[in-house]
Amino acid sequence: MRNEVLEKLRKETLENGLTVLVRPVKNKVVTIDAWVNTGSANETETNNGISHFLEHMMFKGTPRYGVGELDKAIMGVGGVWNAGTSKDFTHYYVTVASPFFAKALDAMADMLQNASIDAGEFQKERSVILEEINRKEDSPVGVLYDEMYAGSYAAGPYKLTVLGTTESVTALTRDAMYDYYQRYYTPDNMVLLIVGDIEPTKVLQEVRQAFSGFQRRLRPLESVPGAPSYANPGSVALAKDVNETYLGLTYPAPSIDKVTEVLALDLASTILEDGRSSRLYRRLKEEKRLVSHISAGYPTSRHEGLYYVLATLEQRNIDTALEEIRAVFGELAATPPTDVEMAKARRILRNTFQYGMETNTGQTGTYGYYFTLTGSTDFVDTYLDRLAHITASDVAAVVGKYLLGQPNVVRVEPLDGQQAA
Amino acid sequence: MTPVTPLSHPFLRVETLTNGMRAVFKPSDANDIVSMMCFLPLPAAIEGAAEQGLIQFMAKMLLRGTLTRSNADLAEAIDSLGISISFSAADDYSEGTLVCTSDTFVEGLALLADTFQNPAFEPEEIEKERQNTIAGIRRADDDLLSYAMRHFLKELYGGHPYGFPGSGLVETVSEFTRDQIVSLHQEFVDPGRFLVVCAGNFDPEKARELLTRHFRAKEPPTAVPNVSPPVLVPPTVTKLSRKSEQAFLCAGFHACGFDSPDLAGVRVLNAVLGEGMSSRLFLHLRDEKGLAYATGSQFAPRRLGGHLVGYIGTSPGNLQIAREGMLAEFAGVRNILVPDDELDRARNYVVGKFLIDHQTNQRQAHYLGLFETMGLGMGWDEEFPRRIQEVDARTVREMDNKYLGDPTIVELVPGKA
Repeated sequence: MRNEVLEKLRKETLENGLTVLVRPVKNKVVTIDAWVNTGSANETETNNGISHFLEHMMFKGTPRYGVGELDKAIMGVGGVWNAGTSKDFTHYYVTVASPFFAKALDAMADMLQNASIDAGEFQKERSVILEEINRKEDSPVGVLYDEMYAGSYAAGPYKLTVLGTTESVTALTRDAMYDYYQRYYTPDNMVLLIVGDIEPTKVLQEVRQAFSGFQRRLRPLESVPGAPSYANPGSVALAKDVNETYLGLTYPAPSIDKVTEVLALDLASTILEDGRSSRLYRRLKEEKRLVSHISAGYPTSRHEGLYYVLATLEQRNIDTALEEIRAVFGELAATPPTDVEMAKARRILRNTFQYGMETNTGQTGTYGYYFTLTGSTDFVDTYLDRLAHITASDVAAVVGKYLLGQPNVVRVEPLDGQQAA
Repeated sequence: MTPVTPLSHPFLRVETLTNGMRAVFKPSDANDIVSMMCFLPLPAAIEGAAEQGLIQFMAKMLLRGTLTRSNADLAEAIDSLGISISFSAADDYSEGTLVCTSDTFVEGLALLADTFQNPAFEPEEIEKERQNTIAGIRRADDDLLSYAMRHFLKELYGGHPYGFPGSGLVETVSEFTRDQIVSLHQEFVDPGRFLVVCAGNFDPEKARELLTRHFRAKEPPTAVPNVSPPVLVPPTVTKLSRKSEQAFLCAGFHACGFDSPDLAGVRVLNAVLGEGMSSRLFLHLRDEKGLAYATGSQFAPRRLGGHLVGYIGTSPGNLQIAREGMLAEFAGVRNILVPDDELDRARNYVVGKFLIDHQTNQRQAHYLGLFETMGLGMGWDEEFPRRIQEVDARTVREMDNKYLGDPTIVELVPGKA
C-alpha cells in the first residue's frame, strides 16, 4: 500500500543510464540524494576502507569548485548536506530551500562527475579518517558492530569493516582511489532521487542538462570477495573502559531477493522487538529484568545478511539472557503468532513506514536504499500490500529457519570484568 | 525581548479551552500524521542537587501504568495502535508528545490523557525504572565525548541545575522515593497549565472537543515554579582520564538565553565558529590540519542563560595543538570582522537548517511550543529567521567580546581506567 497522500514517484532513465526518481512534496524544501551502488562489499583486505575514504574526498572539490568551495556553495544557500557509506552502498544527500534547487543540483552533479581527488587533500584527509577509526574504537557499540560482522562470516563481502583498518587506510594511494572512482561512479551504477517542493517536468529537464556530459565509464567489478560464507558460531569478549556490558548476537538472515522471507522476518522482528509490548522487551527487560536495553533487527542486504540482537546488561546475567532469548525464538517458531499479534505487527510496520516518509530524506533514503539493492521501486511501493499476505505460519517458519541455530556471540565488557551491580 | 505577533499564518493563535488549557492548532493535509505536544511549566532546573533527575524519572514513570491499565496493558494499547507516546523533562519545561496517524488520533489522545493524569506509580514499576535509569546513566558515560561534556556542564554552571544531567546521577536516582514522585506529580502536573500544540492531519474542532473531554484542570490551580538564573562562576580547567584511543576537549563559556536580545547574534557567532562543514573549527582543525573527525561547537540557550561550547576528539599527541587552535578560533572573531561572504553563509546556514527542521509535524509543534514557552511568543517561529538575517559583522564581534572570554575547559586524556 502506497501512502495515499503522496504522489507517485516519476521515473526516468537518462541515455547514459542514470536513473532519476522524482516526487513533488509541498514543504518548501527539496532533497537531492545520489546513491552509488558500491560500498565496503566491493573491497578487498588490501583496499578496505576505500569507499568510505572516497566519500570524504568527494567533498574536496572539482576543477570548477576548488577546495572548500562545494561546502561554501551549499552552506551559502542555507543547505545541509552529508553522505553515508555502508557495505552495499554510498550515498550523498543535500537539502535546501526549494528556490536554491538549481544551485544544489549544480554542486551535486559536478561533484559526482568531476571529483578532483587532489593528492594533497588526500593526505590530509587520511588523518581525519584515522581519527574516525580511533573514535569508533572508543565506542563500545562501534567495536561490537564491527566484531559481530567480522566474526559471523568466514569470508565474503560483509566481513570487512566500512571504515577499514588503520593499516589498510594508511596504505591506500590516491591513484588507487581515482581508479576506484572511475570504475564505480558511473551513471548506470547510480540512482538520483529528488523529493520536495519542485515541479517534476522542469526538474527532470534540469537534471538531463546537469548530467548530459556524464559518460558511462568502466563497468563496475562484481563484488570482489564473492558470495558470503558464514563462520562457525563462536564467542568473543573484548575488554574496554566501559561501565556496562554490551552483548551482540548474530544469526544468518535472508538476502533481499528472498522477498517472502524478508517480509516474514520483518513481521517476526516487529513481534520480537518493536515496542514495549514486544516479546523480547517484555520477557528480558520487564519480566525477568535481565537487561537494561534490548533491540533486534536486520539491515536488509543484497547478499545473505545478519539478524542481530543487541543488549546491555550485567555480566552475571549473560547466560540467563542467552537462554531466554533462545526460548523466546523457540516459542515463536513452535507456535505461530495470534491474529491479534499479527495485526499489531502490521499496524506498527504500516505506521513506521508512514512516519519515515514524513521528511524528504526519509523518502529518498527509503527509495534509494531499496532501489540500489533491487534496481526497482517495487519493493517499497508494494511493501505494505505484500505484508498483508504474509501469514502467521510464514512468520513461525522464518524464525525456525534462521533464528534457532547457535548465534555468534560478541561482548564488550568492563576492563576488570567486575561490573558494579 | 518583545514577543512578536501576529503571524503571517493568520489562523494560528493561542486559544484557551474551557478546561483552562491553552492550545494551538495547525492542521495540514500534507501527510496522514498528527503530532500533539503538551508543554508543562515544570522545569528540571528547579531540582536541588539531591534531586537531580527526579522530574525526568517521574516523566518516564508516566508510561509505566495508570490506575486502570497495568504497565503491560498500557504498552499493548500503545503498540496496537502503532502510535508513540513519550514524556521528557528539559531544563525549562517538561513535555509529553503523541505521534499518531489520523485514524488513531482519537484513541491516541485518550491514552495520552490517561498517562498524564492517572499514573499508578506502582512500587515495583518504580524499581524497574530505577534499574533501567541507572544503567542508562552508566551507559551514557561510556560515550567519552558525552562523558566529557557532562563534566563541562557541571563545571561551567558551578552547582546551578542547568549543569545537572537530565537523567540525574546514580547516587540521586538510587534515593528517589515513591512519595517524592507522587508529590511532584500532584503538585505540578496540571492540565490547566498545559500549552498544547497540535500539528498535522486532524480536525481542530474534534481536537478541541477531545482535549476538553479528556483533560481536567486541577482545583485550585497548581503553582508555577520559578527557576533562578545561573550565577556565573570563574572558569575552571579539569583533567579527566579514561582508557581510550582519543583525547577529548570541551572548551566553552556562559552565553545568553532566550530572554536576551543577544540570542540571534550568538547563534550566528556559533555558526561561524562551529556549525556545518564550512565553519571555522571544521575548516581549520579538521580539513586543514587533519586533527579530528569530530569537531564543532554548540550554542544551547536556556530561558535564563545558556552556553556556547567547542569540542574536538583528537589523537592524544595533538591535544595541545587542538586546544590552541580552538582558542585561536574563539579569539579570531574578537578583533577582526567576519567577512561578508562568510557571514552570509553562516546566517543562511542557520535559517536553512531551521526551515529544513520544520518538515515533520512534530518539529513544527515543537518550535511553536518552545518559543511560546520561552516567553518569546510563537510568532518567533517566523521572526527567528528574520532576526538571524539582521545580524551584522559588528554584532558578531560584539557577541564574541561579550561572551567568549576565558573558557571553562575539560580535557579527557587516555590513561588509567
